[in-house]
Amino acid sequence: MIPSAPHDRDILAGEYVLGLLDGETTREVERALDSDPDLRRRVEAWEVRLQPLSEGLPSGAADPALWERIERDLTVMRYRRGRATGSPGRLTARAWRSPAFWRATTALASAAALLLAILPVPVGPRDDSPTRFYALMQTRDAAGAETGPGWLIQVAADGTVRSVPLATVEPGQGRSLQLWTLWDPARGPVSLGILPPGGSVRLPPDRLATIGSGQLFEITLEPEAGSPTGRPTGRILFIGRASAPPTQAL
Amino acid sequence: MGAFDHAAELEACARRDPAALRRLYERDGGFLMAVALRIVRRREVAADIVHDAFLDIWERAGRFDRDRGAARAWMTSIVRYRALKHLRQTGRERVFDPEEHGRDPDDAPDPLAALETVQDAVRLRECLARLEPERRRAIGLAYTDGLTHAEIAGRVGAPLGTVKAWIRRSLLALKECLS
Repeated sequence: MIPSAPHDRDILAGEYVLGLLDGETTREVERALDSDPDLRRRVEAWEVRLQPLSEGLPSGAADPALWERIERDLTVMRYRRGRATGSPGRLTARAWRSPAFWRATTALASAAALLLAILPVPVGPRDDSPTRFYALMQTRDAAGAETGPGWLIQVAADGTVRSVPLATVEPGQGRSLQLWTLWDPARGPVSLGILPPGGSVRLPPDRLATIGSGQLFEITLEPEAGSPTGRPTGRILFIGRASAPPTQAL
Repeated sequence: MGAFDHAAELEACARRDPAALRRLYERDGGFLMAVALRIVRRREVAADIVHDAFLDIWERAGRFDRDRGAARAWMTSIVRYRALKHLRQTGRERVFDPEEHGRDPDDAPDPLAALETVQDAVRLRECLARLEPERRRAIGLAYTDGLTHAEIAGRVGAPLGTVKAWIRRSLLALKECLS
């Protein structure tokens, strides 16, 4: 129980900030902080009073590699937020909420070939060009775990690569999403270009000829102008393999 | 150093500007890493805590109120509570490791010594100086090292009830002295 006497409340707040309360009391204080502005003020006062004790710790420069991780996960988090709230008026967001889309997506997990028959594919440059391959890319979290479909890539016979984010993705200021494919493990990932949000990129014919079923596609977070090295420098945000559509019409 | 406005950067985070979070990280990421590392003692765990804390800072920036609190203390608290939570959930393997302490004799210096190099700590220093040294040390072991009452009792060689009473009295004395 949270005490009412000011001294007792100050002691409780101080012990909370010092981390000395048992688990149950800690949770009780945490719950009370939302509804008890007086207790919150007392806790905040201790946080400020004791802060100089932290300042005495020897510290070095911030680790740039850790920032990379934070930034990538921030992107994924914002992407998920966009997915959760939807973005009215965006075709992809509407598609996301559509039961037909979900049925299609679920079916894709086992039978990817059904995709183009069901999914309302957003406008691309040449909707009539037959599909050679597509890849349903899985979202990857920082730990490398796949957390569900996040991006759809369709490669048309005319070389157009349609890129369909399954929700709003914000790479962040000064950042881009870059699409790669791995057609030759000895050579490593080859860039297919920077992805405009919900837009398309067109492949040169020689690249198109290299795409085969089962080929790996990935999207990484890169500087705005794309990877400066010609190889992925950021973490993989989305990954998936190409599948060929059914040879006969459904 | 006064040119960096933590509160303004947090407000920019609340407006969803990722560049502001990056500036906060570049400014304070190393410091917050040290805060977490001192509590959890393992670099990879501390890195995870700072990582999660920065995502928290981004999420909660809208609730930061510059009239109510100091921005750097607000960020430090997010890291400390996460580190403490980790410790309490996983248990502490290292603090009682005698080998570790053999290598690290200056593990828990008197907080007064630690505060010597800190600017703007004059008042806290003066008020801590009025406490008995072992009580001062108990506050430091709790705040910077994340030790529990029982762990502090073990470290300073005092009964648990005594340590609890020290902390309570020290908190009241500090509050009075600082206000």
